[in-house]
Amino acid sequence: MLKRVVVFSPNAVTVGQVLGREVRDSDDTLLAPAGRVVDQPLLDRLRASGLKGVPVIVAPDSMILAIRKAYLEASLDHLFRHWRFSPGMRRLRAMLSEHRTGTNR
Amino acid sequence: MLQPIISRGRPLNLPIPTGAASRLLECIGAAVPSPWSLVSILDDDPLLARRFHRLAISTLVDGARRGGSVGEVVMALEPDVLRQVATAAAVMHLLPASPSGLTGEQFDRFRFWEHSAAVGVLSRLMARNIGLDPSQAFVGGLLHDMGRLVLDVHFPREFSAVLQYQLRHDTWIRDAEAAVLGYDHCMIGEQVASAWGLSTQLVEIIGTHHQPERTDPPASQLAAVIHVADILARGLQVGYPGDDAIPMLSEPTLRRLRFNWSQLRDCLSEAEQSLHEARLLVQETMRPE
Repeated sequence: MLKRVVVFSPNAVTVGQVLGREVRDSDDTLLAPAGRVVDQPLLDRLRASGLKGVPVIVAPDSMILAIRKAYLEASLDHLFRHWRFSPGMRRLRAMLSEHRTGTNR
Repeated sequence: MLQPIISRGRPLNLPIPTGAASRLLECIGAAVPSPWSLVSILDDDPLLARRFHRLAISTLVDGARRGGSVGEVVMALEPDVLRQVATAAAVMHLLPASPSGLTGEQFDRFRFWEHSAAVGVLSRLMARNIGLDPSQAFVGGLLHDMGRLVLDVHFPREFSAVLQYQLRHDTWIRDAEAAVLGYDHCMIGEQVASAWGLSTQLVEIIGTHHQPERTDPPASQLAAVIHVADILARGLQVGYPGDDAIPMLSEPTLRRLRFNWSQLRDCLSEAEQSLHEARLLVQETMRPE
């Protein structure tokens, strides 16, 4: 099965799902970009925004996991962008990545 | 004695606490705070009482006292813990998540409190592991960045300029504060904490949590714990600390605490459940009446 984008009601969206397209509110303000993994604060914002539908990626679990991991790595790269050459901070980044992807278990 | 912050050639006017929260701070500042006076102050302000009650549950390691009324909780708490819980409740009351200020969505106070609560629960966990007072660590973590909220609530125009500078230059928000204001949230936070009568321990944490090894003598172990917990909470991306760039983790601080990477990893694993508690704490203390 290939990945596809399905529009869910905001109340049916759950934490950990991935947005298939960018989401904007009625004022055309960007709420979240495509590819963003839904976390609790975003879910609260989506539900409070009055949107009728939220585009979410539906795909095999392995593909969803890969998308989530890629999103997390990009997000950690951004968070640690000032410390690319610091060995201690690189170690911290690696530890956080392992913890958050569950690869340390 | 702290040196006053000079802004535009004059000492900065610090905000003065008002209302029931101010009376609460005054009451716990007494050598022996009277529990009856404290209950009476809380009776006057239901929202403050709710914050106090919820914080007491999170501050206590022993959740068994969860069921009592505000009065029962006040009577049951040890004086030191009572002081800490009341301090946290008063500061949260004076620097609430809503209404949002001039900075609006640029600085989401609700998510900022989520970050602070995450630092609180991580600090509590680390303190317990190394034999420090967990409730002091929790409140220290919760209030460590109160200076930034003081800026947003009481100096919104200046803080808005800080946020714009930070976006334009892609700096840490602390560097943006120093560039735009000439002082940072640690400096104003410790001044305000001192002026509001917070404990010397809290004043120290608020002033030194970014560079606990750079003060002379080095900051307390508790301040060092909060430094590490702050970096971990930023790495876990719980809430929003004001920017999206992680500051430097001080390795000398880790060594002083005798924390190695493996213990940090264990601490992260242990923290998972507590981070959920941090979010709940903010929801239950900061939602409007």
